[in-house]
Amino acid sequence: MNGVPTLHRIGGGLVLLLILFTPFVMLWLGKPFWLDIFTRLVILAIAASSLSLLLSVAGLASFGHAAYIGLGAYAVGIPVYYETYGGADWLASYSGWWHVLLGVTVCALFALVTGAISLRTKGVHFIMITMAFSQMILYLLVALEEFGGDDGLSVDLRSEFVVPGAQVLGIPALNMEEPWVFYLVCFAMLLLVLFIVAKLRHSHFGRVLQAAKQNELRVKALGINPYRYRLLAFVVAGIFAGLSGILFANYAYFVSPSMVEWTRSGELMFMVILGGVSTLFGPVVGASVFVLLEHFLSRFTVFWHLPFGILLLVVVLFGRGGIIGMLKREPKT
Amino acid sequence: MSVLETNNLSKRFGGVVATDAVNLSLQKNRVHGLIGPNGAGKTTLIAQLAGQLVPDAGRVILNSRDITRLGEPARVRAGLTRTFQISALFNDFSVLENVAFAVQAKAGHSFRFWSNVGQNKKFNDRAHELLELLGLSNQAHANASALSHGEQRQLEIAMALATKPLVLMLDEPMAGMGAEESMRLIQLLQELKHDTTLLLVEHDMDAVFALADDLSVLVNGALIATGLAADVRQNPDVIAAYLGTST
Ligand SMILES: Nc1ncnc2c1ncn2[C@@H]1O[C@H](COP(=O)(O)OP(=O)(O)O)[C@@H](O)[C@H]1O
Ligand SMILES: [Mg+2]
Repeated sequence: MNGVPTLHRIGGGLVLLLILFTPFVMLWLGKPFWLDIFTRLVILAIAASSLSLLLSVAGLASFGHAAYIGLGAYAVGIPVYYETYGGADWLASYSGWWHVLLGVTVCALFALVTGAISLRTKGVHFIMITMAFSQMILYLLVALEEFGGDDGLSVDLRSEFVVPGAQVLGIPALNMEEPWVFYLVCFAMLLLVLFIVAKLRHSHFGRVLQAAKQNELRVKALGINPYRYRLLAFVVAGIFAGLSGILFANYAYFVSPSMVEWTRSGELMFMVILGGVSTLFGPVVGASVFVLLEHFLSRFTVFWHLPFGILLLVVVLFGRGGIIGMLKREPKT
Repeated sequence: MSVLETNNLSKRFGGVVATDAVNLSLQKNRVHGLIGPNGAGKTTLIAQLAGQLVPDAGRVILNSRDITRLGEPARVRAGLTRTFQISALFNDFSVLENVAFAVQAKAGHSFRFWSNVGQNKKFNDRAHELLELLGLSNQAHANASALSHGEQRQLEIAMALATKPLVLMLDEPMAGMGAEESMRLIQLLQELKHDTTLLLVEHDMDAVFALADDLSVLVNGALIATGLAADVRQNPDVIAAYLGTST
């Protein structure tokens, strides 16, 4: 907190540069599939960063974060489906702007309503109730027979981001179907989310969240009711997770209720804790370690979840601050 | 003039009567001592005055306004602030950040998202002033959790003062302080009296008698005496029930 984190910032910058360039280096080395893996990594890093606003900054262990990824994804899947196969003209569109507007609105509303209720509870109850709300979304999506129910829905085309007038000015349209363009879009989104989370962390707002995480009793005794601040954090985190869901639908050309399973929310928590709950870049590192380990372990054994679970336990039990926390630990005075 | 008063305030915990129809009245810009044996219900009374605990019956009145139903943060904003018997600090924040946050709480809403609050000059300057006042300046950048027990007690008070209270309720502020720290605090409270009404719960009788203009004695949740400190000290019931038996 006291101006120490320069080193940490440099480290974070290096991690980002490494993430940005690795797939291109691999492409050059004739291993194009790494672009695919890193696209997924970046999208998950966005989701984990959004969760870290709740988990790390505000100390709110939301166990339903995957719901927003699902809502964001279906905000792409459903309009694209209608545009392709007809029906629901008001909803149908390939426009990415429409997908974003839809996804952000739905996620914000869902976060507002469920947050307003969940934030009245504490501890284990909060974990359970956020998970329950996310299960509701899961069942809702399964029940949507028209969109494939359990099986999900393929997304035939990626979102189109057409800037009005850009063509006239000679600026080419973003071709999201081009894998490396899509990758750069995801990466830019990650930068944006990290920037905003960093800003929020150090703002008046962020300090209320951090204070309430440490000692809610005292925050109230100083004249602040943390409820509304937490609710806003809940909405912002929901919106960012929704954006990662929008990207995910585009990435996979596919949406399905399995995106909302509670294990997905658990994985996001893993990433945040793995990377270290007290740092901005922690979730990025956590998501990277998660995706890379998953990739390598799954090549050796189908039972890769077991060693992975053990690793997480070790980090949580002995690491305290996660991987980054272990690296930058200094002797306590 | 009565700034803060209670009307038949009552609270039970199961079979324990923690607050027994208490009628307490704090006069403007005076120090009101509240003494009583451990378990008498002093902290419980403060918690109800602060709005942290809801009384079973009775009323709390601040400047002629019934605040019985008012939540804790709203009471603080109305000028009624407490400190905690067990220091309630933000342990991951530095000492300066603890106080600066308290200043921030007083400064209005915190729905501000862009500027770096750690560099807010207004908050930090005021926080430094308060640390100076409490003798914590040289610890400003230490973590709150790294402070000695006595220093944590000082920080506790610095944070409460940051809210600029009209009425300040201190729950055993001197407990755990060294003699020098206590002396400094007594002096500070003496000065605070000019523009603040104080409720002082304290076991250190020297401090109470040095500071209190008025005195109330709480035993088993009930006030057995209340009035001018000089009178209450002579009250035979008080001597029998409390002052006489305590060591
Ligand atoms: N939350 C609670 N639940 C049950 N009993 C309580 C609670 N808080 C206080 N008490 C009881 O109320 C009585 C008064 O406690 P307290 O107000 O802490 O006394 P004091 O501050 O005068 O030492 C004690 O008997 C205590 O055990
Ligand atoms: Mg007490």
